[in-house]
Amino acid sequence: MLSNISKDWLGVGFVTAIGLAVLIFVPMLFDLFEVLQMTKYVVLSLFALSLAYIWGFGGILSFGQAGFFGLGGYTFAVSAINMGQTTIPFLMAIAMCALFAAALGYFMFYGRLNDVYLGVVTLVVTLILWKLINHTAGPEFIIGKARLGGFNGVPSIPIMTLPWQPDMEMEPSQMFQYFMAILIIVYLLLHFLIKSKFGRVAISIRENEIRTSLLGYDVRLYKLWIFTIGGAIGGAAGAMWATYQTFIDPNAFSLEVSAKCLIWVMAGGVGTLFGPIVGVIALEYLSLKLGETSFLNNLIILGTILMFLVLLLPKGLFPTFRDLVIKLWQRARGGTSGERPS
Amino acid sequence: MALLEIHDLRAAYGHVPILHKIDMHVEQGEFVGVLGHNGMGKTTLLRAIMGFVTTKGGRIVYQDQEIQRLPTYRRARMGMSLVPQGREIFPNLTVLENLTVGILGKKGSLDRIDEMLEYFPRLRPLLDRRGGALSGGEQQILAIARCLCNHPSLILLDEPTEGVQPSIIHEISEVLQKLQGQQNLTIVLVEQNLEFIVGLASRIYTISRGVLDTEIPIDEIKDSAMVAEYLGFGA
Repeated sequence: MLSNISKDWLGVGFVTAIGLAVLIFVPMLFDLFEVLQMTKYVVLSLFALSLAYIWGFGGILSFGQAGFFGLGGYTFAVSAINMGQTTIPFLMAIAMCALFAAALGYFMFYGRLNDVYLGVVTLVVTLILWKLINHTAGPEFIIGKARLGGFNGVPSIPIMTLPWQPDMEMEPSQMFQYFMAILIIVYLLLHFLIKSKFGRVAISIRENEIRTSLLGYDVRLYKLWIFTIGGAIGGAAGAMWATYQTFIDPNAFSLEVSAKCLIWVMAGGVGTLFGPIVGVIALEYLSLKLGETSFLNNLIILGTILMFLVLLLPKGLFPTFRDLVIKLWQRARGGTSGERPS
Repeated sequence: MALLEIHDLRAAYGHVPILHKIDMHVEQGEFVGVLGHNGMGKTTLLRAIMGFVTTKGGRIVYQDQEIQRLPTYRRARMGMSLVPQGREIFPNLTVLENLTVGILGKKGSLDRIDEMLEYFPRLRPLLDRRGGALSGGEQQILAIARCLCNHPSLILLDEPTEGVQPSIIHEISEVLQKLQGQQNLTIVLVEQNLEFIVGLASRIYTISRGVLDTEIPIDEIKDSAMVAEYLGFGA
C-alpha cells in the first residue's frame, strides 16, 4: 500500500517540480514572443485538463468541451468590460460554466442518456451556442457596456490584473506565472480528487457503472459532479484565453476547438493528467513549426502525424513513454508485473 | 420473519419475458440456493431483485418494505449486495482500492478491510496489485470480500464457482459457511455446481424456463442423487 502511495506522490512531486521550475525560469530565460507562446500552451493545457478529467477519470466523453471554453470566455469578457476589473469576472466565468454544466448534466445523467447520445448532446449544445453567438452582431445585443459583436467577436477585453488590485495590469511574464500557478494548483487539486474516495468511485463508474451502483453509489450524482468540475475548469481556461488574447469570437465555441481538445487528450494519453499537457505542448509546437514551412499544407502533415500517433501509440505519448520506463526499470530489477504504474 | 419476499414477480428483456410469476421467500440468516441450467433465468432473477432488470409485475419485499420501484443504489444501501457472474471487479483499481470502494462512507473502513483480510488472507499480499492482474479465483474472492465490506444483510451470489479452480472453490465455501455462522448473514446462491450448492444451502429452489417450480425439501438436499433427479441432471 505504502509503495503505491509513495510512487504516486513521487510522480506528482516530479511534475509539480517541473511546473514550478517552468514558472520561475521561463520568464527569465525566454524572450517575450516565446513567453506569450508558452502562456498559450498553459491556457490550452488547462482546457485539456478539463476534458482529461471527465473523460479519463469519469468516463464521460464530451464532444462539446468548447462550449464551456467559449462560455467562460464570453462571461469573463462581458463582466470584465462592465466591471473594469478581472478578479470577480474570472470567478464569475468559473461559476457560470459550473452552473451550465450542472444544468446540462442534470438532464443528461438523470435522463439516463447513454454514452453515444451524451456525446451527441454535448456536441449539439456547443454548436447551438456557436450559432447563437454568431447571430449577435446587431447593436441590440449589448450587455451593459459590452457588445457581443456576433461573428466580429468582443474586442478590448481587459488584461488580467493582480487579484483584487484592478489598477495593476499584469505584464506578459506575470500573466504567464499567474496562469502557470493556476495550472499547477488545478493539476494538484485534480490529483487529490482522483486519489480521494470520490475519485476512486469515479474511476469505478468509468470502468463499470452497473457494478458501482450495485455497491450503493448514485452513479448519476457522481457523474453530475464530475461533469460540473470539468465544466468549471473549461470555463476558467476560456476566461484565461479571453484575457490572454484581449479578444474573443464565436470560434471559441467551434467544433475545431472541441476536436483539438479531444486530440490533445488522446495523443497525450487518456487516463492521465500530465499526458494531455504533453499533448498540448507537442501538438501546438508542431503546429507552430509546420506553420513556418511552406512546402506542404501543415494541416495535412499534422493530420498524418496524428493518424500515426493514434494507430501506433493508442495509449498516448505519455503513458507509452511511462510504461516503457517502468518496463525497463522492472527488467533491470527482475521485478514483478501487475503492480499499477504510478 | 422473512427478510426477502417475492410475490408473482415477472421480468423481461424488452418484449422477451424471462421470469414468470416467481414466488420466493428467504428468512433472516438462511442460506438458500437456486439451482438451474443455463438460460433458465437464474441471473435475471438476481438482477431483478437488485433492480437492474425492469420488472413487469409483482412485488419484492425486503425488510418489510416494497422495493421493486427503488433504483439499484438504494437497494444496495438497504443492505442488499450482489456478487455478479464473471466477478466484475474494477480491473484498473488495486485490490485495496477495490475493497475501499466497497465501503460506503468512511467510518471504520480500514478496520472492516482488515476484518475481510482475516477471512480472505490470500488477498493480503496482493493489496497493491491491480484487480485485472489477479487470477480468476482471486478475482472471485476479491468480489466476495468487496461485497462483504459494506456490512450487507443479504448477499446474492451469482455462480461464484464458474471458471474457478477447485482449491479456491473449497476456500470460498469454507469462508461463506464461517461468515454465515459468525455474522448471521442471509445468502441466496445461484449455481449450476450441484456439489457446491448442496454443501452450503439449507433449502434449494429449482428454476426452469423462468419459473421457480420446485422447492426441494431440506432432508433431501444432502442426497445429491435426489437433487439431480429434480433437475434431470442424472437422466
